[in-house]
Amino acid sequence: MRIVSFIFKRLAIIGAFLMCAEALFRAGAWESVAKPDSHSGISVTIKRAINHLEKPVDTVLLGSSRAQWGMDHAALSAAAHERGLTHINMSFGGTHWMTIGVLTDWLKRNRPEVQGGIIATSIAEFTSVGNGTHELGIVYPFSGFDDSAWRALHVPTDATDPATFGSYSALFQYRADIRDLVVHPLDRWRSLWLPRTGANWLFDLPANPDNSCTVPIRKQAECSAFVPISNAERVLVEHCKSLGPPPSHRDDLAAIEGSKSLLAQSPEFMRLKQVRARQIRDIGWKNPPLIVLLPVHKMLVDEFYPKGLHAWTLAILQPLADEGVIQLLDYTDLFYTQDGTDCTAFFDLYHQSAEGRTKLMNKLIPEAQQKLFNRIERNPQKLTPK
Amino acid sequence: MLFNSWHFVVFFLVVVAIACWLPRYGTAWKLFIVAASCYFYAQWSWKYLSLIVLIASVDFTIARLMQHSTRRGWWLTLSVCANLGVLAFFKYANFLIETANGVALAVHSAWSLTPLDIVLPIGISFYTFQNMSYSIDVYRRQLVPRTSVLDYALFTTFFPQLLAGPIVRASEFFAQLDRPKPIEMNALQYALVLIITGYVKKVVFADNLAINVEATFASPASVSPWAALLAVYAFAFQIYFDFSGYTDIAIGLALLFGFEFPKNFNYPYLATSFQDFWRRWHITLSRWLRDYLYIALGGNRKGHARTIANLITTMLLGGLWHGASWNFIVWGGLHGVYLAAERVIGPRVNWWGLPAWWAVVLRWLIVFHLVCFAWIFFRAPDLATSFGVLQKIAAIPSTAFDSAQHGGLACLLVGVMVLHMVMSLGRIKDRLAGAGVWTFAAFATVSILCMIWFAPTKSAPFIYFQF
Repeated sequence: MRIVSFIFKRLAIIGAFLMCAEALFRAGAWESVAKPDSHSGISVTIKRAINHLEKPVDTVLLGSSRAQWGMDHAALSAAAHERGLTHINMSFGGTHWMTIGVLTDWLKRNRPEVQGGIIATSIAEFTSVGNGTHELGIVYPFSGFDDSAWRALHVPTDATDPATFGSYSALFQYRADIRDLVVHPLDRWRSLWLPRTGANWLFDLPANPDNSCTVPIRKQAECSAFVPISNAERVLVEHCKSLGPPPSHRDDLAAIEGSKSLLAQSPEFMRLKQVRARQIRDIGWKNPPLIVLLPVHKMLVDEFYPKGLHAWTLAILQPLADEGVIQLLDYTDLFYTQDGTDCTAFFDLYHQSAEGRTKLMNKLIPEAQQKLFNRIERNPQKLTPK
Repeated sequence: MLFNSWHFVVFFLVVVAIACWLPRYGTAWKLFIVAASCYFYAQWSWKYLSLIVLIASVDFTIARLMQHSTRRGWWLTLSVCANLGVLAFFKYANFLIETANGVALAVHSAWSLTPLDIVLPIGISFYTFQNMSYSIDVYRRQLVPRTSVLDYALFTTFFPQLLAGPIVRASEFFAQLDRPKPIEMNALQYALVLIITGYVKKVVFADNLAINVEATFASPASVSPWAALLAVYAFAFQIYFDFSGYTDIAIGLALLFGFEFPKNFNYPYLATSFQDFWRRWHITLSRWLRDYLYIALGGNRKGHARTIANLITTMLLGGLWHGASWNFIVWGGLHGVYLAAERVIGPRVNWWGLPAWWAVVLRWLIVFHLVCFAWIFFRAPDLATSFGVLQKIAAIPSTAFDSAQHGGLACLLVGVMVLHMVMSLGRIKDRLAGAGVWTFAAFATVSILCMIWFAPTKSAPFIYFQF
């Protein structure tokens, strides 16, 4: 008994110390030292920029890097400003629906004055519930103390992958960041003193002037076989290669959606459908969110994504639109041509070029004005002290 | 079930908790530990558990028969043949077949043998040596054979040291089983310190160094000369942290059950002679080879030339003990040559009249680098890869050091060596054993945080499990 109490007394104290460390990390103790250009670092920068914003925020844009590059944030802010509204960009590379859930909750707690917004997504974000452990890095700085279940729903714990433990523990979440600090301490020290550009991020981000016209990308095989010359071509060819050869079997989501029995046999898709619909219903903005399906590259649709993905996505979103829970704008095939995809509109497989961005915004801004900005009432210009 | 798996952590906590409730070293306690140990081994293979039972039964029976026999030598021969026969079959049969096939091919003979479809039972080198030492000690009348099968089963299967040592002598084990000392709290805390440092060594250091080492030894041609050199040093520390980490955990676990196992490592990279190195590296194997092989061959009692031959023979067989490959034979042979050279020319070197302190540093540098050189053969999968690494390293004089690419690893290796010195000189583990509960808890918390933050995504199995 003496041995057991000896060991368990020590285990209890160690457990208490670890819980203190966990609490400190959850409370944001690591945020000041996080690598500024990591997923967490960018989130910290944006969070601080929003916290320092003295005027009330009326509308937001949530989305991934597709939105980050595909949207003209200055133009959207200007369109909102015409109505006397403040619109901010909260799109981050790597964002998926888990991040959107955490961000909408964070906004409810910290910026309750937000009345509406644009959720810029794509059909690619309806292929699975989660999007990998990297997303934990984006959400932690915005997470509340009780978000574990939401994170674990999207990043289930896998005993062989410590990064997935980050769903439950902030100590695991910052693993990559801490390792990087140990390997490159001087780089980190220098980077922490550089000015953070959070305010720019909220209102304006540059477009990419390159386009994908010099690389053949109708099929993955011809794209990955291309010998790149310029840096832009190299990035694009690397993207193609990283996809690997197209899968020999692709799920047919249209068939699944068409048959109730098949859907019941696919618990993963059934869960996805339920989780997404519930999440969208719970956003709680005064004005129904404007969900924009951003353009996707046809090569991905033809060779990689599950068959019928577009119809499947609409099967989730259209009933919500019909109910008035959301407003839907579908630009999935905006840049499809007879030969595949308009190469001037993309600079890689996922993101719009400057030209593509302009074309997209020409379509979107009038819709956003009509469906979002014109329906929002201007907040009082001083924030209510919390 | 690996020590660095969640499965083991749960198993260990449950076993310790139950063992604490049973009267220590009573029949129920022994039965429980034997059953737990069998379960532990059976997680790898139920089939090969029977091999342990078979070998243990043979040695137990032979020792009993030997006690009053006039043909003690015959019985000992039978025991040694049984143990070495099993080891030879499982470990060396395919090596011999492949060597014979290679020779046949070299002389353009059509003759060849088909390699056997056998899996090497985990821990076989350790438990056969442990059982053999029991028979030899009984033969030498240094040990009275046990009458209790249960005691012998406990000695053979005791899970903390079953898979990779330390190689505990029967006399050490049974002395503690027969005359149990009360477990002191300092010893318990020392056990926990050992277990924690063992895990840190494995998870934080060995597994991270392994990533770099693996890349180089998988394809030496594709790395730079400096990367190859750093990978050799990295492997020196990887294998040290891996094996000494395992041993620390094993010794710590045994201490929790009241057994004080012999030290297996004593900061080997601080050795200033090769003899010193082998008194610090895998100590229980070194002393086994010394007591049961080197001394049996005549040791240093039969003249200078015979001593040299005995040293080289012992180290060659020590190399072969690690695995059936020419690489291990070269590694063992190199250490045999080092030891022999040290014995022959060591006393004649005056170190150019250097001050004593400088001579020690110079000796330390020479020993460390020659040990690292030998590790190349130990780590490489075949001789061709070993020479590929050496070829790369030979190109260093014509290659500039790229600090951006290699600086991080170089700093880490220097840091690890400094840590090695600090741990030794500062007697950190001993201090922590006597520390207060809060200091100990702070140390454990920092260690756990280091494991959380620095464990690589994929953990490698312990290197010595393959032997």
